[in-house]
Amino acid sequence: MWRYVVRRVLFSIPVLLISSVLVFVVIKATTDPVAAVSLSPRFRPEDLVQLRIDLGLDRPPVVQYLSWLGDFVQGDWGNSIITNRPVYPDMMEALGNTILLGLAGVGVSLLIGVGVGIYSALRQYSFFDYLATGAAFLGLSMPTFWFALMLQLILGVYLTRWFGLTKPIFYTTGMSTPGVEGFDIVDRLQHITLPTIVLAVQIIAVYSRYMRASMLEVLQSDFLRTARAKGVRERRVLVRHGMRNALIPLTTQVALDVGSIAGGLIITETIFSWPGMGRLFISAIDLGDYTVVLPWVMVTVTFVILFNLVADIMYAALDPRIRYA
Amino acid sequence: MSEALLEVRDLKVHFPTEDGLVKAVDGVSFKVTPGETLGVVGESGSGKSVTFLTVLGLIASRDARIEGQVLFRGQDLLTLPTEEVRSLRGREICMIFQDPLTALNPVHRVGAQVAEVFHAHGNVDKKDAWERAVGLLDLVGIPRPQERARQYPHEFSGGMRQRAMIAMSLALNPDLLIADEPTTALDVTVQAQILDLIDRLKQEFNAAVVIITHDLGVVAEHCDDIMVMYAGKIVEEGERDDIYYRSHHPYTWGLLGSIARLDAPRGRLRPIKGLPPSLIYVPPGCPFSPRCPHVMDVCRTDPPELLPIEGSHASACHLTFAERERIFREEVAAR
Amino acid sequence: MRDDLDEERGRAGDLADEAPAATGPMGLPEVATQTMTQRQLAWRRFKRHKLAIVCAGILVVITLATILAGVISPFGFAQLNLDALTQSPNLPHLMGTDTLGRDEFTRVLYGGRISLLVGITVAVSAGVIGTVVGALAGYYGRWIDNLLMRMTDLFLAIPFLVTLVIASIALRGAVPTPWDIVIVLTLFFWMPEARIVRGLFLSLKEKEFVEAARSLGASNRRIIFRHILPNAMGPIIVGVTLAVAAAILTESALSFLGFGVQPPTPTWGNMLSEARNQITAAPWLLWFPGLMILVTSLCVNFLGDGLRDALDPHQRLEANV
Repeated sequence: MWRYVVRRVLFSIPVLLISSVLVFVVIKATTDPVAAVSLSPRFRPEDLVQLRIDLGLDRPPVVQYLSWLGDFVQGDWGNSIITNRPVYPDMMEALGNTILLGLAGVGVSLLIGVGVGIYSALRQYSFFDYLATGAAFLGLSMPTFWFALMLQLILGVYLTRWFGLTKPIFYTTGMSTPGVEGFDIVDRLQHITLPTIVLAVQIIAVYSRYMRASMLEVLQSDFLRTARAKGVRERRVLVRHGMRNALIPLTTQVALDVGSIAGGLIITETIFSWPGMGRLFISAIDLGDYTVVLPWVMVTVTFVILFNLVADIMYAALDPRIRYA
Repeated sequence: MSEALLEVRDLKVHFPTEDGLVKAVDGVSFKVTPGETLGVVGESGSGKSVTFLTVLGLIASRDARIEGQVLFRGQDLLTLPTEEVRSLRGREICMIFQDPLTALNPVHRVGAQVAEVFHAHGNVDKKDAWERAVGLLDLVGIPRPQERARQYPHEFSGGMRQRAMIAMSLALNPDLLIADEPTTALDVTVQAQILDLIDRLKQEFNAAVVIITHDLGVVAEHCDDIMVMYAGKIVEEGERDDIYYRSHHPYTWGLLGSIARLDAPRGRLRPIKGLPPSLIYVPPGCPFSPRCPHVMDVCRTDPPELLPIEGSHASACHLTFAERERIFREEVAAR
Repeated sequence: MRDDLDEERGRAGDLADEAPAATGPMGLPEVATQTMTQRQLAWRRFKRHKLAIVCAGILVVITLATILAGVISPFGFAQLNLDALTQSPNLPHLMGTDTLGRDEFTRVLYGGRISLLVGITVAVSAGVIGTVVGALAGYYGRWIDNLLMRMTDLFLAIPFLVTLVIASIALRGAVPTPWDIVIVLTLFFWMPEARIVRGLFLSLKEKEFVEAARSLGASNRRIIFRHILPNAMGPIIVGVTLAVAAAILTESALSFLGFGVQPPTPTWGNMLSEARNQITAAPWLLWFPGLMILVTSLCVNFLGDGLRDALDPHQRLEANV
């Protein structure tokens, strides 16, 4: 088992390196950090040339890459062209906020999705099953941004209006109410609820279907029949043999989903003005702040690769057959 | 005459499907007495597995229509509450299945799966159950049982897995062991070992054994009585010698005739003509009539009853006793 | 000639699907049996899915409506009706108007044209490319497989929307036309399809009918096209169908963010983006385009599910509970 882990970890390192090269090349080829400010009247042509030199854009590509890589690993991600603030701290804060929202979404989805999926499998073709399937299809076909806007409208604006409240129950923007001192858990919850619902609806749709399919497959298996033939109590059969085996594919999927959280909440964050990675990316693109883009993509890719690794390891931990692959 | 351990009376198991009603088991009656080994022979789809899955209450389909009686020591298992049937499983009646690789849970250790039988039937100490499981693995001939018990099913060979399955089933000293195609998934050399193991353990534990198979060769050496099934019905039954040396049914003849023999003069293999029967579109009359080389008009309209010939030997065929004897002598025994 | 191939496939494929074995010569004339071709079996299975058929019908209606937008609606999609600013649904403005006086219903119809067109084009092109790549990777294996799969892996590691945004910026000279968007989307949509096809080819090429064909002297090309591909068509079609829904959703998201099709050309996505500013004043502007996206995706997904059951019956799982 440990040999497998070590092998996978070692394998990830070249993957990371190659990804960094690719990301670097693609971003450099498609974006020009200077382009944004070149339109600004503040800069004269000579300033632009100097800017280029300052940013090291005149050096050969390989040198640029290596120098950037060295800086990146040490946490020096340069300064934003627009705001001139260092990129690293702001991005780290944004990352934290995104992870918070993402984990909330995935967590809620797991709780509900797994339960729904298992129950659907156990009561296949029942009314509940059809209802759950219909709801899942709805969740899968729903345009995220539309649903988010609808939620904002109905639960945010209308709810307050209909009940004539002075303060909304569910907030539609930001992580916390400006002006609130310190850490008010209730306030935070009020803010995080709507975006979490948006995420959860989609993820539950996927997880419940996944779990249902996985559980159905396990329920047909021979070893389940053997367990019953041994006289094992039904509940134990369903849990120790059914769920235990059916959850395996889902856990890898969850790990992969967590990995894609870093860059995957763009729409939700934009609509709810959630101060995370997604919003950071969009505003960077909109403002032409391309020095932000490169570290941003690197962070998200690293996240994905890291959690791919986690997924593989979890799979091997849960399914002993994999360990010899 | 000992008291029957298991008595099945007119068992019918029908499954409604999209294409029609599948009559998997259509009126089957037989007895199993303590200490005997019963061989149940038939091709795929003959209903042999479904019969015994029904005995154990393992028919999963909720739409299945089950009629008849399954008397285990006098109690009808079909009317017993599920919890009581569950309690019998693994403890007094056990079943092992065809493909030990898929029949064992790949993510649990083999030892744990054997020990689970103990946990299922009473509050046992974990360590105790494990020790006993290791002991059972040793009993079925698995070398280095302590090490092996900690391994996973995919680390075992086919034969060893089947031995582990046997260990699981014998854990609580059952009175009836049902083996569904125990050797089909194994190499020929291993087959013999497994069957010998079953024999040996049967003696030691004084159990009754049912071996379900499509292989007459398997049955020949290890069974006391034989039951031949076709299309959900029993077509012939009797003691082993009855079936081999005095069989009275065209299907049985076909089965015997299709065995390749080393000592017979070289000729072509003789399979039974025709295709396996559909369990939905069951022909009126004898189910074997479409393929029977001795078919008569009455066979197509009247289903033959299972009539006794001598002792426990019985057959379901419209041919007269004399005709059957003649055909057997001339055609079957001569080969 | 086509039926020949179907018969061949039928035999090579799923024997269990053919009619019950009791046929003529066995003396049971009562039973009506026919051996059906794969295609007929699939159609029969599909017909059982009433929901999928209804959804197909709805999609046809929607598609026709978008095509016939000019005939159905008296207004132009950019036409400013200054006498009817910001009206909630009424007659003759069935879906109301926006702050510029444009008729929402008309815009929804025209917007549908683009959204549907983009969706279908992307799905089909991505399907074709993905199938080719996946087939090559799956069939020839080894280094081609490795190379192609590593490439797709790497691209899939970057969040999808991000890849699209960056690509869209890179390609965008001035303002991206719908065709630019189609290209950008196709550039990345083929990857999941390639994965699936690769998996299919990997398993299918081990089957006996391939070995048989090869031993009869069939060339690789022949094997791929006449033997493996027809067997893989089922899941491929299902994949393309589901991709249509995904493509429509993705295009809307992209347009919503401002990186897709630009106004004044309406697509359901950018209509929602514009509606966002007037969310409290004119909520109906939010309802209708969004609902259209939802209904269309839903129908496509149900249709795809029905197709999956019809074309790939092994998928159907039944529990032993």
